Amino acid sequence: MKKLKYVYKIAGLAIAVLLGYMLLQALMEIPFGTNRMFVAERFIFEEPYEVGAANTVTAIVVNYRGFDTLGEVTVLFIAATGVALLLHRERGIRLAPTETTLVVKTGARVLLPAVLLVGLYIFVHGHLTPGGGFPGGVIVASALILMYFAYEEYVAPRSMLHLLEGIAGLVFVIVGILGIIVYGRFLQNVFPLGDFGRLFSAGFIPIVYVAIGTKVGSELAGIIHDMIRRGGESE
Amino acid sequence: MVTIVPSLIIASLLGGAFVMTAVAPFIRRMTKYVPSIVLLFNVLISLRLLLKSTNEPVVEFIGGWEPPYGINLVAGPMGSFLALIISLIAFLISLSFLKYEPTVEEVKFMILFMLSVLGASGLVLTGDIFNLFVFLELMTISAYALVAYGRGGEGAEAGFKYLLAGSVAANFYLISVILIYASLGSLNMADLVSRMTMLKYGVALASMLFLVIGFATESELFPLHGWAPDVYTGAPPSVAAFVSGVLVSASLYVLARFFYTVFAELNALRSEMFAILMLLGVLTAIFGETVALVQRDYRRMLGYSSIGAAGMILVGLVSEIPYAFIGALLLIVAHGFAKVPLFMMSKHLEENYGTRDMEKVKGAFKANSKLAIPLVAGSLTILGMPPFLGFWGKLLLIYGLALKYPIIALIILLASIVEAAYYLRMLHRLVIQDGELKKQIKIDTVELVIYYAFLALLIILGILPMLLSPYLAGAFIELSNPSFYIKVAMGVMGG
Amino acid sequence: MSDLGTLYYINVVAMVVIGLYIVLTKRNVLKILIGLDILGTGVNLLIVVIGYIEGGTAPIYTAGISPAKFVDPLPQALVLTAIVIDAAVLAMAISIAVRLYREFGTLDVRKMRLLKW
Repeated sequence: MKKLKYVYKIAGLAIAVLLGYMLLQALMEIPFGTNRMFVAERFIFEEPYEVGAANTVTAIVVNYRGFDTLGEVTVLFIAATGVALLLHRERGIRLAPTETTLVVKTGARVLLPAVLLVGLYIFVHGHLTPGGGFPGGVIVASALILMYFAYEEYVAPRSMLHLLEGIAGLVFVIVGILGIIVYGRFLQNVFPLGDFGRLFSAGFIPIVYVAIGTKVGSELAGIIHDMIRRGGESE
Repeated sequence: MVTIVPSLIIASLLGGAFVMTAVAPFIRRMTKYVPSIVLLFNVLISLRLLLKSTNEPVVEFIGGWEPPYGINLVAGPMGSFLALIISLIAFLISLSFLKYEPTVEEVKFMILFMLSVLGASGLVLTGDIFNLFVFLELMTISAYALVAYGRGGEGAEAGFKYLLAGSVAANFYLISVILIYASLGSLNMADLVSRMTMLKYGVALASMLFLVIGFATESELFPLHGWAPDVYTGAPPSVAAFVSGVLVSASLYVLARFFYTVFAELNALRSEMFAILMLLGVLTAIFGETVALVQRDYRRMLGYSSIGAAGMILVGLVSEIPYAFIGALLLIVAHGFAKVPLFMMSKHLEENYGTRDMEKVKGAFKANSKLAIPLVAGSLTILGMPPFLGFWGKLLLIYGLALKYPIIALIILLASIVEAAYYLRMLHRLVIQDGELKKQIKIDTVELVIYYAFLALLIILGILPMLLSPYLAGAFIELSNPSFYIKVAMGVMGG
Repeated sequence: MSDLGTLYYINVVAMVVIGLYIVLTKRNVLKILIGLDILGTGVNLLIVVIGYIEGGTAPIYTAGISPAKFVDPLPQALVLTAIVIDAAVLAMAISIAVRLYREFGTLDVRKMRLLKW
């Protein structure tokens, strides 16, 4: 049977290389670095007037193609729910012991609010600076992960996280439905565009990014919780 | 105040899922009603969209941005029809959640189910190729979790295989999308139609190749079907039915949509690809039906039958023949409806007799006529017997194929005969033969309702298939006539 | 075409090929997942690479920079979505892997053949 193993490996290599070769051939016909934009041109030039965000990418992510972002947020939600579902059998035993010293424990307590603030800042300013809901939410989650590392007994408030997760998601959906009520189209912006470059500008982008940041933060923290503590619910 | 727009289908499922998440730690009991309520709502919405689709198809520009700048949801005859079937199948499956007080895990199961339906619904309605990727992932990632939730090692193994195959497939599709965007600068299906001729040959070929590999995997076509038999055996029965009836059908739709509409202008490559797809379909049909013949496990048999059916449906879809195409759509419905009771019944076998081996459960349903009837009806539907819907599907498919490809029609006919053989054998074993097992199986009222609801639908549509014909014909026109699709998608027709 | 472009493309293809090879041939569950990650990252890299415009700068409105010099912002938005989706899939995959280990006691896929034929 040893020969069979080699057959598999060679076949696998052959398939992968063949596909890679076809891909490379195709890519070589796409000139790198040239301006081939079509749809994006309008985004770049019209966006300050239509959306009002200084960060063009944010304008696309949240407004022009906000539907994709809604889907993406939902995918993360699916992952969090799926992880909780699959790892739920055993109740609440901490499986990743960490021994830490007083220095780490104190340091974590001091850092916690700072990290949370950084994360919060990033997602609140998503329409003005690089970043936005997703990186901001990840940073917020990492603050909670820090607590898990430092304190073995630490348990994130799971029900609270679920509540936040659900409410944040609903905020996004409600913003979308407002578009249906006012204009007959999902996710059409009903909020004022404000002054370009200020915090309260760009319509619903700050609202959505805060919602996304909260959702991502609570979801990732929940996923880590489920993996470390095997999903014991604090009900 | 609230106009009937396709996004309501998405928003309702999403809102329902979020509400359930927020509320479940506090009032779990009430959550079990949410999926059924939301899905019933979606059935009504998609029905309304379908009824309008032939005269005034509804198109929604998400965010208010007109395509190709914004994403559009196109409720044409094809999209609304599929959305309706998806919602209907999902609704009836969701009734099974009403049986008991849900545990914490079961609430999550329901949420994931709703989100998979969301993915499938969005997939068939979207007019944007990247948005399609997002909905594909939504549909399949939740399915991975649903499958992995199956009993013990089987569930985990099946879930893992499905995840691997599906993720690679999705990545391949994404490569295809990026190749297209990098060359043409747009992501909107309707907009891309006219730009396609600007694609360099190598890029077009690679794009089509990766697309086909990706979605052939998702549609369980030979030889990329490897994940499917395990999923059908290892996943919870309702999930198996859902994958077979909804996910696979949605994936087949994508293949049809791309090659009929998006790539419409690339004539030479397109004809080659249609030929390849037809070949794949035929091979899949032959493979699926033949292997099903030697199966002893009830669910594995149904799984290979599903693969075979997917092959037949694909052949009809890509034949470019109206009769065959409509037959394929009818088979999507018939197959989707029939497989649910058939799969769900394996639960009775497992719970009462502890095995799915058909050799060991002779006469299992003989004393339980309430179960035997839907079992027989479902099987006959798949075989293509009147008065069930499957009859019209098979008839139109084979007749349509015979007009241009008589040999293929003959192959499909032979495959159907093989299908008949093993279904009748299964029925003989489970319903007719005498066995030592003569338990009176306890059945929940809810389950009976589900089985007989599908039975009723199959009979009604079997007797009155003309209820569907204008929409199916409209679907064919929408796909095969790109200028019609473009007009609809860009909002020139209707609202 | 510029050598830099070719280099990037080769990089992308290499990652895709390596990732695919690992998924197709390796037997250890965790290695397979790493291969899946490499494949996904390769595709994400491709998305970013095709958005580049020679001499361009970040597409954020800043004092003194003309929007005509922006690189394509659309792929950046797409890749954001793709990265998050990849991360979600991996989280899901790892929890399935945990289940697999619990059920089979091993991470060798050859030993997980409950479902035959």
